[in-house]
Amino acid sequence: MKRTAALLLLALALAPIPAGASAPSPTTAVHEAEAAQAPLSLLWDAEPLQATRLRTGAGVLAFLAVFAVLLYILQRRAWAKRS
Amino acid sequence: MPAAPRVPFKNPVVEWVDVRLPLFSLWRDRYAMMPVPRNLNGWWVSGALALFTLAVMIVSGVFLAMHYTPTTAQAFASVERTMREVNWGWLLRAVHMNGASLFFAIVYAHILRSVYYGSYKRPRELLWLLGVVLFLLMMATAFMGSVLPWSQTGYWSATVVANLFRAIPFVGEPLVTWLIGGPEVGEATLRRFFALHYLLPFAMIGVAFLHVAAQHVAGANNPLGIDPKSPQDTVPFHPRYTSRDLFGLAVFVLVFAAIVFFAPAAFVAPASDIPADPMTTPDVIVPAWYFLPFFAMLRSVGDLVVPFTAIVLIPAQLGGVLALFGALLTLLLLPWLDRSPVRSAVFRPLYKKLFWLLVLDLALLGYVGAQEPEGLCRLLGRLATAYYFLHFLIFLPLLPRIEKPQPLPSSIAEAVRE
Repeated sequence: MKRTAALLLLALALAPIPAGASAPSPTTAVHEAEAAQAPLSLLWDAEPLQATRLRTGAGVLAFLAVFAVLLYILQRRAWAKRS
Repeated sequence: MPAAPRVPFKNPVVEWVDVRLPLFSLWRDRYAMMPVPRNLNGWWVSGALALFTLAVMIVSGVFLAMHYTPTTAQAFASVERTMREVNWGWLLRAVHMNGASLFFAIVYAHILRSVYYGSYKRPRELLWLLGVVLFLLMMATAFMGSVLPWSQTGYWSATVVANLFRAIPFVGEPLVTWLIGGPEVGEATLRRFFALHYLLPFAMIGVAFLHVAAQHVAGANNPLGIDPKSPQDTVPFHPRYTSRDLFGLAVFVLVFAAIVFFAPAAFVAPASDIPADPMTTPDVIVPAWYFLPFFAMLRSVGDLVVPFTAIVLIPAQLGGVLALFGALLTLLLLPWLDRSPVRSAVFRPLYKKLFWLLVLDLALLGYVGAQEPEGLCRLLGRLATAYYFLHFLIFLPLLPRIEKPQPLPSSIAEAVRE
């Protein structure tokens, strides 16, 4: 739930200002800069270690993929031998 | 087994140990050199994977328990703290939570393989019974584990299950009080669930040991379901099947890691991120996916009344409990319900069709279990529940009378050569 809400807010923050909208006044610019920080804060609040999770996961999967290929070759060799 | 003359080991240290405690002989004779049918297919990796997953669950669980507080006031917060403050706590929890789902997936594959290839038949009946006991222990452990984070989902599923047992006549109420340690699910329930959730996996290790020991006495079944007759029918377990198990393990761990790191909340129930609140009932209480077929059976039974009267013989709640326990009891009886001498479905044309119908039936029950029990879903649930019992109690015992099995090959080696 929290993550969905955070992603929704992120999408809203990144959405372009519709054409025809008046140029933002300095005050709104400040507000928007602050608002842009809000979703990041929510993301962090939902899962502080998300970046670590994704980075570690990529490494683990890369290692396992190579390892699985090696074990497949090993298995093929074990079965290739004459009984 | 007749004692073969002992072959000494070359390595003096190995030999010294082995004379005093024959661990190396055990490995050599019961694993490395053990003759195994040469035609096992990929489904035979599932047993090794289940054992591996049990080990992963115990190791991750022991470390989670170091940071867990089994009190209603602190359980939820201690789990949140594990997720955020404990080093790699989020990983431990992701492994343990998703490990439960993968454990059930592997065990369901293992059970269905045994059902398809007739592995429960003579002489492997006891092996099958021990397997069903493992499955029951596993369900109890998983259920109690899901209560421990003391979230809305856990608290209310415990309450729902406790109320089930109340339906049992006469002993229901005192039984429930005894099981949950009071009139309602609460402090005592959480503490005993924690103690039992920690204990039962070790009981599973004991039963798994007997399960594997019985498997080594009977030897592995195989896709043809015929016994090996000559050395040509078998190969030594090592290196062929050890290497295949390792490759299967690597693929399994790859899938496991993909879920743990990139979809850790894939199997999480909706209200599990809300602390338990006895004053607020959630809109829907749906159990984990692996309980859904049984949950569907539980809710599919209506009041059993005397025809043309309003006298209720068996109230719906009790009927549901009977259906649930009946479904599990039926599994225990399977070796004696299926009397066909042919093991493998490969040579049983009708049984093969019935097997896939049963799989379809279980899938349908799983789907119905996740829906509201009304309208078409209620009807489908009742039909699917009835079909489950029809399959095991009527079709299987009658099948040998009408089915003409195909001729069995004379040996495994001959069938492999073709």
